[in-house]
Amino acid sequence: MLLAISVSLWIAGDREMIWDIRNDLQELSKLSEGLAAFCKEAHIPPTAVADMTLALEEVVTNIISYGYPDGREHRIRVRLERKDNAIVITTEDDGVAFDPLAVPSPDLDAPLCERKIGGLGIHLVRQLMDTLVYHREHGKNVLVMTKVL
Amino acid sequence: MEIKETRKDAIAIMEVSGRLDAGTSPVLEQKFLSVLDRGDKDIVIDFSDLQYISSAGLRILLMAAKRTSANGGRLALCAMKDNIRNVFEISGFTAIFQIHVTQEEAIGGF
Repeated sequence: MLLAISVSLWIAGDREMIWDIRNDLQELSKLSEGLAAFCKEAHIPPTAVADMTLALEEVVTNIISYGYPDGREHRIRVRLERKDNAIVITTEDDGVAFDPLAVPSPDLDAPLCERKIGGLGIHLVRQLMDTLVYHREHGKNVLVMTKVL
Repeated sequence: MEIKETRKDAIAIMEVSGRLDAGTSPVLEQKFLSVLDRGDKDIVIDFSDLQYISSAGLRILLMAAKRTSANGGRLALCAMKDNIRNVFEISGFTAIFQIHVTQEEAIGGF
């Protein structure tokens, strides 16, 4: 079933899945379908699946939207790992250096007229996942997100 | 994502279904602006069949609330599923939007 997804994908064992998607927003729905299939096999509770789907999509949307000013096609690697008490999601991209953890949190108490449009995506990721670690490695952005089950 | 437009007296109603993400939210933005352009002031957005929302969708709704308010109108949201409501809560959006359980209640609230 997992192999039906039309992106480069392979299963490195039943507790790990890796796939490469294009830097195209149309790939987002494939990403959530792939994550849903992986979580179904791994018997992950639906609320955790919903949290991880949104967090992963926010991160990948940012990469696709802002990571590639050259306008060319790139591949973004997504790895899912099932640990005993957690799911670890790693994204790896060769876009411009960007540390999402350095983005300031939006002011959630501001009234409507003062609410800013930006910064919400990363805020959601911070709230939905349990730990986030970013590093720049060999010209790539690597973000490791953990969801404790 | 699909948007179905209906009307109840002077209130424009937009029923949004499917996924509201970075790929689809520009469609909602265009549709919303066209509703404002034709002179509608009070608008209800019904989320009964909305399965998913990301920050790109929230961004359009924030724009919609600001535009409606600047236009002297009102915007109400209704019928959110729990996962959608959860995203609204952690974004602090429940404090800045009128959110109702049903479409009837949203219309009655104007």
